[in-house]
Amino acid sequence: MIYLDNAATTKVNIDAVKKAEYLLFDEFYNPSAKYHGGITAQNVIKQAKNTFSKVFGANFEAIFTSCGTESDNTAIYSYTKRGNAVTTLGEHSAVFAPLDSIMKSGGDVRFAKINSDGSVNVENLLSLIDNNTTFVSVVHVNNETGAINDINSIAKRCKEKNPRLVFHSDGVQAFGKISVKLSNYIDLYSLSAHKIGGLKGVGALIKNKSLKSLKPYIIGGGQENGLRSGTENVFGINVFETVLLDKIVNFDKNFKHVTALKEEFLSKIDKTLFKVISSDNSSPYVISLSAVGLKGEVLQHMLEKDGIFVGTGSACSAKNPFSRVLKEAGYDEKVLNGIIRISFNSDTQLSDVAFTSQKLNENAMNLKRAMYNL
Amino acid sequence: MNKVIIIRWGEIHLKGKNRGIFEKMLENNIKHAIKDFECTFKKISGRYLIKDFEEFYIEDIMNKLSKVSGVHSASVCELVKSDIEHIIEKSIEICKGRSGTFKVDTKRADKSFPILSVEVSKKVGGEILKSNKDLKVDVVSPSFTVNIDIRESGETLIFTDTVKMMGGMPSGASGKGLLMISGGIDSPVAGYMMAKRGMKLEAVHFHSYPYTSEQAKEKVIELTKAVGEYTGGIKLYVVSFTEIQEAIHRCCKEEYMITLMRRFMMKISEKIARNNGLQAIITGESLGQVASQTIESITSSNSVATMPVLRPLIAFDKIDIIQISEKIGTYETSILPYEDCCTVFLPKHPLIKPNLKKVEIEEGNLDVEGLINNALNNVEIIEL
Repeated sequence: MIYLDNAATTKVNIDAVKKAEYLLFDEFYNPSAKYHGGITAQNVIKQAKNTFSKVFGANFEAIFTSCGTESDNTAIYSYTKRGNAVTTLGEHSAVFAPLDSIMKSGGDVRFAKINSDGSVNVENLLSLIDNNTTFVSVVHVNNETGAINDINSIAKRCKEKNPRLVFHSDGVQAFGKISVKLSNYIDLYSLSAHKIGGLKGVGALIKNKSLKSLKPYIIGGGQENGLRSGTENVFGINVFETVLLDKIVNFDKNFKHVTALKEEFLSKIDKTLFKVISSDNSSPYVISLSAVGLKGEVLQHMLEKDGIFVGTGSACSAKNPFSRVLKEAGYDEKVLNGIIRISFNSDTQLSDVAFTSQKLNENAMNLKRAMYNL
Repeated sequence: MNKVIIIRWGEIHLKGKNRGIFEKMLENNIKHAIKDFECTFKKISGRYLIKDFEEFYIEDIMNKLSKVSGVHSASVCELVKSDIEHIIEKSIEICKGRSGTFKVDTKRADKSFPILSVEVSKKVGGEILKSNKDLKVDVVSPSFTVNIDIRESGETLIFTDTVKMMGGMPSGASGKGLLMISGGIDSPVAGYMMAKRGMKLEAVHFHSYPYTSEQAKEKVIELTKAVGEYTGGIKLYVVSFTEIQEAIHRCCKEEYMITLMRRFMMKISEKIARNNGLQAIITGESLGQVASQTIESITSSNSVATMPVLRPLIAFDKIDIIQISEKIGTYETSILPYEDCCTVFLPKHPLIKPNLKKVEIEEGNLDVEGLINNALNNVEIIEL
């Protein structure tokens, strides 16, 4: 089996799980409990918070959540009560859908245009910001195309226009994959554990410590300094910490390896059959391409028969057949129909990538023959 | 555990000498439907009785019973010892919190019971009135009836509600048919209609993987399972249609795609039916609903069938089919947006009134037997 849908989720890091296993069966206590076991559990979370601060910088702290979507929603609903919000048409649904719903219920939400590779048109974004802008959200790495937005520079320019706005970025597809060094202009940054070898159901909202006005989205027992109530997933947080460190320690090695994977893939793919959507300077972990005039989902199934799992940007479904983001990026139906997304992990083998590109070429050719009676 | 369920059957009464066989079928079907529940099942004069079950599961048992064809109605009853004090006490309890009008109707199978039926009704009715000031007696059209059934066993059943069940004939009483099931709204309803008439069902589905998705197949499995609940389980034959579709696309005129597909499906279905001892093909066709369901299209596909093709929905409006679909619990699944038919090869303008002769000429471009045999050699069988 060759798994190339790592932008959807990744295989869990087994060593990290084994290391954390004692938290399920021995030190399983509620971190809020006042006896020894509870304090042990609390210390595991403190330790994780320290690690996150070390990774993101002393001016940042982690609030643990249940997923990237919750982190995004916490940020959004905290800062959209007044004024206007500005975001991009290239956002993941976790940001797009809540802001779209706020707009539909009468809020002032502005969507910046995107370029053909899925990155934001920065000038357009800046033109939407005014004195009343309270919140800006720009995805760090686009989950469909891998396009990188230079969030540090964008945040700086946004705040030059309006220093009071809160700048958030969804970093779910960025962290552990591209270099992430948050500048002090970034206020909030969303993460998800399962995209980097952690567990589903665990996420974090990285918060700039100078930001005092964040409101909790989930209210209850006051965990996470009142910013995210609910008994902490101690086990999941510990696994998250381990995989985070693993990604930091092995960053250069992994990046080099995955860049080689991308090059290998792009060099082998038949350019007469496929149009590559991802740009040269996008995240090497995600490649978006289109079998123009063919159906991406059919190709996906054909590859599955060869034991290869990839993502698509469209589905054979009556509702929302096309990728919203790529449609906004300006592609026509022929391209949108044929979208395939290949996404790597640091343990993806070069030979598997070569095999995949070969099978993609073959299957696309066969499909083209069948569809057009060539 | 003083609650019991009584089950009544309907049309079997009319079936003369076959009645015994049909009753046995019904009994077995009911037992099969409730096999997952710990309970005892017995036959009492003209009815079945389920007792000794955990009360928590009453709704689940009633739901299972509602899917057994041949069951006419059922009632959840209180079971008390046959003495007037117990009967009064339980009747009062049943009426607690209720308002409106009521009457008491007593049947006395146990003729040794010292009080006459009419007197029992009067006495119980009087006590209910005393205990509940919101109730009034109306013997002509009451809002509910307290039924008291004094059995010969020394026990009395008391109930107020009779739930209408599926009706029809016991599954298996009317032979066996093969349902051609798609992922749409109609075919599960067609299956249900035949199941209701006592036909035991198996189902066949044609899928075009990789041109259609795995979810589309999963959806069909779910729908077939739902239909299977009305026939005590069901076997699904999944036939890969990809090669045939590709061949038609390659060798025949675009507009003949659907017409030819229907004929292939019919031929393959009939072979599967014959090989498995099934006596009829069932389709969800409704006259004029789509291009493949005009009388000309039906003629074209029907002409390749030699066994009866039953089309229980032929004269139904879509809205009526949807209503049944909602009732039998398949609608929500049917409208999931996974296409069961490959859109890659669908013609822009399918033939609405195919001419049989021309269809046959077009079909002549294909190795029909070879394609059918290939398809039959790759059938996946799923027991649901």
